[in-house]
Amino acid sequence: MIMIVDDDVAMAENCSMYLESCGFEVEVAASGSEALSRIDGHTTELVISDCAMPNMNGLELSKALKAEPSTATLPILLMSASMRCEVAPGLSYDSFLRKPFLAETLLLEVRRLLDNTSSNETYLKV
Amino acid sequence: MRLSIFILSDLDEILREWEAFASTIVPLKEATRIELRDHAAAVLKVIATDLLTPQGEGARDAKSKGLAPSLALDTAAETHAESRMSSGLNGDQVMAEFRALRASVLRLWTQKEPISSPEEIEDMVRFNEAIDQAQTESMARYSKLLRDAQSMFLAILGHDVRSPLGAVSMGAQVLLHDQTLPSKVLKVGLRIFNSSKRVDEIVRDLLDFSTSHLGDGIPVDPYTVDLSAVCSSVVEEARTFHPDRTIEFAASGDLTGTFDGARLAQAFSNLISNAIQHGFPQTCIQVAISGDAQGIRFEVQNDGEVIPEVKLRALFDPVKSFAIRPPSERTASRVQNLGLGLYVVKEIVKAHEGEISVSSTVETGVKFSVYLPRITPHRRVGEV
Repeated sequence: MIMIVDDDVAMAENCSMYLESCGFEVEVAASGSEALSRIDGHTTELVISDCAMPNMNGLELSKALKAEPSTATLPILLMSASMRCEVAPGLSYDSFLRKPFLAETLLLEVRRLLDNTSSNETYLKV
Repeated sequence: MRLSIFILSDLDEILREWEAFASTIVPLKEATRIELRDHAAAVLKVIATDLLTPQGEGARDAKSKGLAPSLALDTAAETHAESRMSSGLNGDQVMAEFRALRASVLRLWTQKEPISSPEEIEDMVRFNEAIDQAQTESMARYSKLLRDAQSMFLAILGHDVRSPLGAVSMGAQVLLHDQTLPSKVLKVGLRIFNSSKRVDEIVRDLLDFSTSHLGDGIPVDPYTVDLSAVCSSVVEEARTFHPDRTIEFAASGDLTGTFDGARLAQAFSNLISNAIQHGFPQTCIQVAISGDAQGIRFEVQNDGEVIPEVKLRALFDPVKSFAIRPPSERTASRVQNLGLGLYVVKEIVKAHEGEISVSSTVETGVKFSVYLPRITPHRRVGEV
């Protein structure tokens, strides 16, 4: 299951609809803290999170997931509408997309990140 | 009486005059006495101490130009500028405070007793130089704060526009991905997607234009990149979004080098978009990129109306380009494109220490030519 986290519900749901139409199982959370309470190391395969969110932003969520042993290896894709390089390589995330982006680019990144994990069969809907 | 002695002994009287003047400035009307005096005492004490220190010709010249080295991390004049900006004073009002300070000190000093000795005249000259220095420091800090604030404002504005734009764009792509939808819906979806892409480009060009005008130039982050792939991808994208246009592409030579691939993709894209927008619709657009040991040349050619020489010269400067229009053509309804994209191209090329030129004739059409030398520009990671 892919977890999409964005306080912009329209963005989260549109990404969700697109990825579902490509065959993925997707869930949506409207905040970092909501996502943190719903993500677990067994069913969640990938987290796609917006950077700028109130309370817990994408980087904080990412750090929290990497710090927890059960979710430490979970691939994380951050997205942001900001041009400012507030997300620099080496921080606790695996990929980054600047909004707006092509749906095809999102799909390629999702496939690439999931291909890097060992159990990529489980997230695809049969 | 030497000026330094006067300043230190009559500091309170000088500050009362400063306070009286500052209270006439609108944003300071309700300010307290401490707020009105702000850093004036510190500025004056620094000047008085400076007057007591021997000074050579070099130091005098530097000070009169506002170039004297500062020993303190923040001078009193710089801190004063920050404080006045917080109180809402504009740059002219901060300058006026220093003018008033200069006038008050010299008037009160000369009222005390007429100046006559060569040392006192020397004091007056040095005092003026010190005020010039303080004024320059203050304005430099004020301008920097203003630039930083504008830069931050633009970054937030860009983020705030792109966020909903991301949702619009993704929504349109969800529609386009569903081929079971009626063709009318898919057509509308494509229009929404293309328009959102155009808005994104305009926002990006506007932000780049604004930030480079704030003095930072366009930031580039060079890395090893194959410009053939970058260019090919830009051409493919243009073909996808403009299926009605013919775009021919040719690549030759060694096209791998140290460049900011993303920024050059933006520059190539802007030039190709320009050719699509201004070229004759039924004609072909030629895109070519070639490389040798010295550098890389990128060219875009389209058939279109000949651009007059006067317009060609201003083509990369949107402000000048706008200014040379007749007044009747300066309304929003007459100006369909400010030409920000070409300005951004020029700045990206400049950041790579390259050159850009344009020619326009009946025989060869309109041709943009970019040359990028194989040297590594200074690494400047993007700020906005």
